[in-house]
Amino acid sequence: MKHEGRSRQNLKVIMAVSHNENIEAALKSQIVPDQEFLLQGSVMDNSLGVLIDRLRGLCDNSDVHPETFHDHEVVYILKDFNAPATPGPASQGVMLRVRRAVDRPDLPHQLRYVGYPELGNYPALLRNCLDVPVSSNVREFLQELGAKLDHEFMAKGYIMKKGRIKVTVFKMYKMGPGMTKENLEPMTMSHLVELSVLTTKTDMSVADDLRALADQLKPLVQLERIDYRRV
Amino acid sequence: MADIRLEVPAENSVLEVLYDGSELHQQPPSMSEHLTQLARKIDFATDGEEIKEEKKEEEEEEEKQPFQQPHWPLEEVRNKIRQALTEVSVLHDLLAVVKPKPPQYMVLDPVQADPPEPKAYIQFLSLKKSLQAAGTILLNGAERLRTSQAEMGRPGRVVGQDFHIELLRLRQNWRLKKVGSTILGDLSYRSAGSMYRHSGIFEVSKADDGPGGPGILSIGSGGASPVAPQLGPRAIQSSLRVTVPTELTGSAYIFVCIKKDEEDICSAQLTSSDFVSGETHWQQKLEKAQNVLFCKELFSQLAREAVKLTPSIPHLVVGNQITATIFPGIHLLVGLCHSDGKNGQKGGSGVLVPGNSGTGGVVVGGNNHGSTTNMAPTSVMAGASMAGAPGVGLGGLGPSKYKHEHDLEHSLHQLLHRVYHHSFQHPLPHPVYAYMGMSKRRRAAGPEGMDKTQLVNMMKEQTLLEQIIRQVQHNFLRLRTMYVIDQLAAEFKDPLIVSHWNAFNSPTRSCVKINIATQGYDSVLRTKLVIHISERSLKCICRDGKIMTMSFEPQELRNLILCQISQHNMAALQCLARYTGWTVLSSEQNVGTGAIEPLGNASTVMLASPSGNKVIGVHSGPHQRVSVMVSSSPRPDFYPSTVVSGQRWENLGASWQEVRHDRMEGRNFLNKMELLMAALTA
Repeated sequence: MKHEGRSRQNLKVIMAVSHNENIEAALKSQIVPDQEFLLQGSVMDNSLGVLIDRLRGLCDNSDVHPETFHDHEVVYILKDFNAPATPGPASQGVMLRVRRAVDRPDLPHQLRYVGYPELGNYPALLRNCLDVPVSSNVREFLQELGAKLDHEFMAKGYIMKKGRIKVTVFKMYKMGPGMTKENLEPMTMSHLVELSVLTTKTDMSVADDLRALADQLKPLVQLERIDYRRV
Repeated sequence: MADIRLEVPAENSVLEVLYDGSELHQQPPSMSEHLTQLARKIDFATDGEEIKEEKKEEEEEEEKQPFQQPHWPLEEVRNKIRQALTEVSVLHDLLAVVKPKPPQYMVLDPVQADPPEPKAYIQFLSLKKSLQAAGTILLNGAERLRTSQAEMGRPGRVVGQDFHIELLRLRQNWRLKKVGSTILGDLSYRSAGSMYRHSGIFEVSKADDGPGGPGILSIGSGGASPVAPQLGPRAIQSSLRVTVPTELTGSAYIFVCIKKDEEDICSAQLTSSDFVSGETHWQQKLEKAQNVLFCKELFSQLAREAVKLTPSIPHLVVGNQITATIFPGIHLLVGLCHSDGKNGQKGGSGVLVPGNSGTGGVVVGGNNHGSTTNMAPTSVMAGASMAGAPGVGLGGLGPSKYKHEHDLEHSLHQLLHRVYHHSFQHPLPHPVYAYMGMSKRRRAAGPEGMDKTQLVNMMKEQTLLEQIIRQVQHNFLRLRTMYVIDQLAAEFKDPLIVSHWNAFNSPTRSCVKINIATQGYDSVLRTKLVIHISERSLKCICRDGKIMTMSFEPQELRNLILCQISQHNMAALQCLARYTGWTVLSSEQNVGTGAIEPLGNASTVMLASPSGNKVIGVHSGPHQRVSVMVSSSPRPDFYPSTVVSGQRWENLGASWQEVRHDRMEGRNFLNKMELLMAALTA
């Protein structure tokens, strides 16, 4: 009971910011930026410098060196683990991603839900995406809810922006016992390049900007819409 | 082998419809009839390959169905196949004859197809057309070469002023793009974060000197000034012409001044007379146009805010002027001065409400901000009527009444630049899943459970006008404080007031340190106080740690300093007494007796000489002169009476006698007191 009370309190904290009616009205008029366009690609480590230079030229604030980030992501799965396994997305449960900035411990954690890619001929991968800033005890909260830890990893790299487009170039590192901040084991010999932009259901024009930026990076990185169900 | 399905259609075709509506159906054909029908459709002569296959099939079918009708149903088929076989055999023989090499009996020759009928007329037409096109290209090239040759040979045209080189230089500094056959440039600050709706587009074209000569070369055709048409006709002419929108021509600046109280707030007429001839280099032209655009944006932003804000005394927006009250009786005037360069000198867009109470329009000439060429002198023009209020600077002499505050204008520019900067410099999200364009505090609002008021407070941003008003208030208060201190320093030579202004200050905060010391006795005592000047109040930190907050009224500061002077005198006297060996009998900061001070309290000090036979009493108040009394004991005029009989009572002090210390020798109060003490001790 005590735990439950705390969890409810947490939930209240999460929801406290905005009024429910306003959210409903915004959802109805489809002005909530909950759709994400995403393009992904990868670049080998030895050409990372060239890519960063190219991106600096293309993105905003080219006068300053691109900002680095160092995030730790933990992925939880929330589903009925006792239910018999049936094929289809229903049995896969909901994947919840918690991310915290290792290099900026004062900032709130982020909880993210990512939906399945939309079908249709879009210039980039389109999916539902919800991000909520949460307090640091969100992991306990999720465990109380019955979510199970699926996997976790570290992401380290650069973040830039061009208008509304978020550009991240990063490498994923394994997590494990004895892994310290300095001693990380990389998963690959390449960096992942992601262009993403959040938009509403009604505004699809920004995807063309995304595509245009991706085309500018063409010989260096091949940015494509990757459908995970096909992989 | 594939099965061939020989099924009849489900329904038989209708043979006849009788009058009663019943249909007479055709009897279904028998298997062999059907086969015959199908076989009839095949044309075996079309393809050699098919023939063979079909033949096989037919043979099989022949084998299958001999028992039905022996010969005749496939008679036709057989005939056709035989015919085909004959033809194929002939062809085969022929090929066999032709094939051996070298050919012995027969040679195959390609058959010449009939050449198409030559149509001479159409050929002629197309030939003519292509020749014409080639001719035009050549002519155009020749024409271009000729003009470039002519340009090269022309005096005045400096070699190297090639259009393309100029264009390259232009491209290095300005954003250009090609739309159709025209080259358009972008003057706006949009790429830097501006939200102003003006497009700020200019056009780049090649300057082709027509008969009009250099006059035509200026910005637009309207930019040619009749005042200075022959300004440097032999000057370096650019082969590039930029055409900026007419509303951006000329030059502009934001006029900022602080006005004292007047009956008519909106009487000032702003003009700018710094029209510069259109014959300027494109770089300067564009810089000026951009400056005009910037000033317009700044002013429109301020005007919008002035209308939106609702202070207790509302802001006035009239024409191209904004008036805001910063202190009672003190107004801030912000105006947009724009000379659009038509007809040489024109009062810009700045003709305002006429002076309504007879003060007349005071014309303020500004200097040319942002222009690097002609700096026209400030011009002051007479107002309309001479029945102005006293003290209003009318007439065309003397400096303008309204002083343009360059630093405030600069601050305004800075503020808008900061707005631009902030619109681009959002902190990047960390962790990277966070939303973009959200401030750090806003992101933390959810997890920290901020309430609505906190959120609203967070969203509150000071408008440009509020910020500039705060800066102006501070500026004004600082100047006034400076004036009060300087006045007091000039008024009082004893003690001396020395002020040190801190060089490090912000637009809304500054600090002054005041030292009060007596000349020649600096080491005895120095009274120090620090005054922090903010927008609407002063904070004074005194030597004893007391903190006093004062309003913007200058009298308060004056009173404070007067009190400090009085206290300084008293404290310094006590220190001096310590050096000279006198004893402080009593010291009272706030005496309750004597004449009432208008502000603050008087203080007294009593000093006794080392031998104790003389006592000095000093009384000083902030608004009263210092009075010095002396009494001595044993009193010289003690006579024993019936009441006081003992001789020992003569040691009581005698009655006080005032010292007219203003007649005494000595440079200042402390010096006089020192001399007095010396005299009394001796």
